[in-house]
Amino acid sequence: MASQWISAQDVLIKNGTVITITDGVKENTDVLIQNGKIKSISEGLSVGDGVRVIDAEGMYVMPGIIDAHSHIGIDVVNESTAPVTAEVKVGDVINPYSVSIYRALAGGVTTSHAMHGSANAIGGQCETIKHRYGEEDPEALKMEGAPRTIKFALGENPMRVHGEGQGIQPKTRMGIEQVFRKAFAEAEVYEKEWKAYQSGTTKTAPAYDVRKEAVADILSGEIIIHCHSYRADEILMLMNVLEDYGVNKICFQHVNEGFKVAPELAAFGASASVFADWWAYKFEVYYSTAYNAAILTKNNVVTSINSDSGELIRHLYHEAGKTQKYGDLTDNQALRLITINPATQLGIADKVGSLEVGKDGDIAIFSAHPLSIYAIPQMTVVDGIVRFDISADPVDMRLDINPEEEVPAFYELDSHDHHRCMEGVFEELFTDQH
Amino acid sequence: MVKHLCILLFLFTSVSLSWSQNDVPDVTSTFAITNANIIIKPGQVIKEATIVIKDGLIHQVGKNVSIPIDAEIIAGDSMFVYAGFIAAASHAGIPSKEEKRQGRPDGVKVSDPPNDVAGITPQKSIREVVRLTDGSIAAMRKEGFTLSHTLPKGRMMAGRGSIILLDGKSVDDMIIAEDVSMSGSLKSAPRIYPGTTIGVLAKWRQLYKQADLAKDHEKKYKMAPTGMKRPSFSKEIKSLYQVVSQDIPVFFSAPKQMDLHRAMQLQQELGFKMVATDIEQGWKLIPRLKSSGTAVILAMNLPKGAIKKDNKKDKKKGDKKDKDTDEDKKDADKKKDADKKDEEMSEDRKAQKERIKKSKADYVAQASAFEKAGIPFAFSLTKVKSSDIKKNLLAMIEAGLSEDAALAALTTHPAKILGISSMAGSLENGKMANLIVTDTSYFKEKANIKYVFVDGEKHEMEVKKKDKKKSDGDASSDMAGTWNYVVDVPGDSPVEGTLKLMSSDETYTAEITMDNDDEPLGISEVEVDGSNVSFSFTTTIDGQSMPISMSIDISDDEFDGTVSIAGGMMTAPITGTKIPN
Repeated sequence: MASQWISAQDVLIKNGTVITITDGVKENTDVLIQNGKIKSISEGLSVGDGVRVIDAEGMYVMPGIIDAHSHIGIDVVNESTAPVTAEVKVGDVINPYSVSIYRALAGGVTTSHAMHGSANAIGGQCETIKHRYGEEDPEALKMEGAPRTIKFALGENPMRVHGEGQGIQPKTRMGIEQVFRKAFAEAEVYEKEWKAYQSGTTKTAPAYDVRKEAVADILSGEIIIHCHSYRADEILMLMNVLEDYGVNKICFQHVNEGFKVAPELAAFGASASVFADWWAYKFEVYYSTAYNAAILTKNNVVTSINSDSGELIRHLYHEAGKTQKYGDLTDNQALRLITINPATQLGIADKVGSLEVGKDGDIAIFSAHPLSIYAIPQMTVVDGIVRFDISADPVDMRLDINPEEEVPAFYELDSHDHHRCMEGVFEELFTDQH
Repeated sequence: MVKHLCILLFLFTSVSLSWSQNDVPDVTSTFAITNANIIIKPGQVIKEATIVIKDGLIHQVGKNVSIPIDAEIIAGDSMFVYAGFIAAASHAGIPSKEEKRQGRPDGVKVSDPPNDVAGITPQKSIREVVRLTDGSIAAMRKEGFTLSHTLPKGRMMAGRGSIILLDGKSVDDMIIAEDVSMSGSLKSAPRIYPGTTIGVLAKWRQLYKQADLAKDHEKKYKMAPTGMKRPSFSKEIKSLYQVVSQDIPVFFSAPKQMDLHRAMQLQQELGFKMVATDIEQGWKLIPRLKSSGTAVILAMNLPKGAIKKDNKKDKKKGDKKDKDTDEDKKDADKKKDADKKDEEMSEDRKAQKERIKKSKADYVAQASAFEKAGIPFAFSLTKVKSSDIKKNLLAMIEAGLSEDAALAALTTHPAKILGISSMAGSLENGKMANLIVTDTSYFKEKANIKYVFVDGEKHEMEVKKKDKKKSDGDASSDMAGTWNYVVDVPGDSPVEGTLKLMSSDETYTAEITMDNDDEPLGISEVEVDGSNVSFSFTTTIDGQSMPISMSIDISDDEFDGTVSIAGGMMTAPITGTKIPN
């Protein structure tokens, strides 16, 4: 099965309408990818024999879509046993056999942010993955040079799991603030102790703590925070906490009440990754609007639209289109929500998110303008390799077959594809999901 | 009190058992097996040769061997002699109730549970848990195994493994190399930290680096303690010093490809010495295993349904077409039904079925793939039923594994991995007298093991009579007896007890005890169908009367099955082992 993806990373896409995102829309233009990188965007390009040429006449060529919030391609989402689990990494459990990755490709998505869940105030470290479906080495899916990211969570999820579930802090939103402050303070002390040991001031090494090591890396700015959030008051709270510790790399996720604090977010330099029109699935997420993305955008907050779902990830271009109905965003503004903006939020805008010479050869080809409701993804290219082609799309795209599973789970509509933020949290608490 | 009584009772029975076995001293400790085909090691056979065993060692092997006067002579005409098999990893000798997969214990801090509750017991040695009388020892010996690298049961760091003889008068007597390895896995703890694979991997890093620093601290403190903080003495951390210093390897259990990948990533990051074990699906990682030089132990267990029975049945049918028995007719009907279903299946479903079949075949062919890649490997018996060992091995051979490689995986390779090549693994002079004698080539399906010598001690095996009236799988009187069982109640502590099966005139009755109930419950109706035994009874749980039905499949000294409580409101898996008479 994997043999259909030849390793050649050279491809020429001819005569498409090229939506560059950062440099306008170019009609009848060719995109040449060499060694997996965009080599040239111009009219009338030609290549020698042996390079695959894709005729994109009448089609739309855009950068591969990027999802800043997803849980596909990983075997574990939540280590929900402690309010702070900064040390765990979903990058440890990437599963290249997850067929959700292929399904995302079929929606033009080439990169996603595989996130830890929202059970804990400080959850685990996330992993930015390239959708190189067909590769069988989990490490091959990790995006080279992508900065480290970590999941934080505000509000009801950590309160319910730890406060209600275990009777420990955080039981309230106030408690969540204190969980952050305590973790930060401890990590600061830890760093000082190590520095004292390394400089010879103290004779013995401090007790090694893999958790504090990770929190210290957040404080030093090495890790970007992606925080599950809904309410404006809590969003302001976290920005205050971060300000006290001099941390400014943060993207608020969901951020349904972001529209209330859009100027504050912009002033802080925080970004926002939102749903197009999804709310009211629990108490703290009733006060919402489909204008959220547009309001945030017009207030100069770097905004993206995410899926948080193995299903929504297949039509993020529809989700982006909704901002034209609710908020009158331009085509470019709307498409930025699923390309260069999520790339910025993940710290990978220098590599992906737009069609520019030198960037990764990640491309989605659509039958019509991607914001049209009639658009159908035709082909998805990752690093110059065609990973999805609607004309060669067999029924069974699994790469690994469980010998003991007579009825393959992939055949049913797998419920775990949906909204996995709270996955793995104890059954008795499994009422809400985001 | 009841518990104490039980322990006393247990001690008493085990002591008396070993007395009764050994109170008659052997006449001689010298044996000569004459005129046999002696497989010194894989690929090296001496025909019509003699092997002399003396005082627990191989004294002489060859064609012109003088037989000591005091030797008991075993006429080996047409028989085959092999080195005793070695399980590179197993739980031999550890009672099944040691494997406690409990729910979250009360009063434990979920975010920071005590190490033992979290599955972190690297200090544990199998000496504390191994039992001479455990049924697994005799069961494995019956399959030709004489040595086992026994690892404790448990989760991420279950404890240290020791190499034991599958026979002996005491636990001291059995252990030939103690605490030679650390058992490792990615198994998480039940609803406490580390509750998932990502938690387990983080905890591995934490403990390993902690041990690395603590070891260094301790060393510095020993040299110049003045003005230095006193090192702390955590038994878990101290037990990891030998892992950090690479004095002992981690036997990392990695059944599936992703487990193996993750274990290898962790090893690469931390740098411990690793033996990858329990590998069920490792063939795609062959290049990486090869380039890293990781020692490889493949799982002896195969996926359910991986060994096709249809072929054999078809063959059998061809053999005796003339006398069409009822059973054959039944089979034919079944096959017709299956064919009909096949026709109704969609093309997609057919293709899926084909892929499942192919997947099963890949698992069976794993050993052959490793052989072709030139990677020496041994076998792990941690998950296989002892009665499946030979069957699975033959299936692997049918899938391309050579007999020599199969034998090496049972003898020379495990000896090498375990560092005991100079004392075991082949039939060379001076090695331990661990050997097996079979009536024909071991690799023939019909072969019987006639003798197993462990450390020079002769065990004569009961040879199953093939011309028994009842065909394989039918009820046999072997079922009668007392069995220890464990019901793995989902999310709760396991329920343990004994089941006594009694037979008279083709009818079966039973008695069952649960937990520490001392009054056994009588069951008058027990249905036996082939190797399947089923019965129902009613018990009282927390003052409520509760109907319970059990269905178990017995194979030799083990059974597994399902317990259904309150008419199927809840079902739980049950396993059992026979208490030797």
